[in-house]
Amino acid sequence: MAALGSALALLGCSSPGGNAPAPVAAPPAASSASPVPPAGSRAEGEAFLVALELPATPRAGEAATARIVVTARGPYHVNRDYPMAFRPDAASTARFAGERVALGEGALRTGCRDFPGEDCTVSAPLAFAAPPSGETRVSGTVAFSVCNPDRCLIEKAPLSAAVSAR
Amino acid sequence: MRSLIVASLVALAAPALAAEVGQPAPDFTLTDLDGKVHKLSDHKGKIVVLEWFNPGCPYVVAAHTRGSLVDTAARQSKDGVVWLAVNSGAPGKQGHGVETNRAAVKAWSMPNPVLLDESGSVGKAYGATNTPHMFVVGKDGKLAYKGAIDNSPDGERGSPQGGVLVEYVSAAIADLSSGRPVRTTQTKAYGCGVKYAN
Repeated sequence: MAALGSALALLGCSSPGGNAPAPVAAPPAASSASPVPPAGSRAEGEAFLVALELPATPRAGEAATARIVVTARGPYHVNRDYPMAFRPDAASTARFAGERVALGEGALRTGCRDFPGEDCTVSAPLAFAAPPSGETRVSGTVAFSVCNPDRCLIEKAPLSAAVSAR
Repeated sequence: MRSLIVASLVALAAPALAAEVGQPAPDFTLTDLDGKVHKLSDHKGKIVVLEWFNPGCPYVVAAHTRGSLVDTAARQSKDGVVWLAVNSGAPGKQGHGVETNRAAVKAWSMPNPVLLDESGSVGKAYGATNTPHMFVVGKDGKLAYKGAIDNSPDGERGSPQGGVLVEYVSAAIADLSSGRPVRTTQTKAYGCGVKYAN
């Protein structure tokens, strides 16, 4: 558990915000792209695709790391100035370091093809602890922002995915 | 790269000397949504807050519905602070138009006027780059603070840098009201870019 604490601390969790909206229900699963993450773990809009990728078989009761991947579409890029975060909801059986988990630390960033100075994909680690038994479900809302040259959008995407622990 | 291009355009559009903390705040005359004329220098002797505003900007929406701009203008106005929102958006740009702004004023119960700066001349004189971008003018007419409303760049107080929320504008007003030097006089504004004509 100490290892989990260290892992979560590395992710820079902060205190929960008092005015954040409540998590909302998961959206319908979206369509095609490869590799395909677990069902129900994607959400998309005209300007973005966001996916939650869980490790295949987390160990029951132990620390593990999921990834949240935000991909900007069309003329949009991922807004580096916006504090990406994951807010778990009550459906999660996985445990997190706080009610709001910052996602900036350790993120892998891929530049845009036409504008390499901007990020078009950000893959951020999300540390969690699997439950002692049963299904590991990670469920919550990812907050992020994408911009095009004219405007920025703030998005709150609900995601939920589950795997069996070993 | 796009950010750099946008930043460069903003820099080119701004005057060589934007409003500086400690210097007299640039005077202006603008009309509000009802056609009433507002002149900054008429408020000398009072603390004035200028809030660069765009009701279509999601950061502004967040700040006015969940963040540090909820009820702040009303609270400060009761203490004698003059709060003016300024929309420097050009015609055809996001957040422009009397009715659009009127709807936001009503929806967010804004007690303060929204001044229209379609030419962007006032915004550029202040070096306003974002919405919201905040400027606090002291009773002496000098600029006392410019920058963000707070240190939570999600606009809704959920991600304070360093883990502790700091409301820069309220803090500056408190310092000015107490006769103390303003502790934080300048921060980096966050939010949407101001939708200038060029």
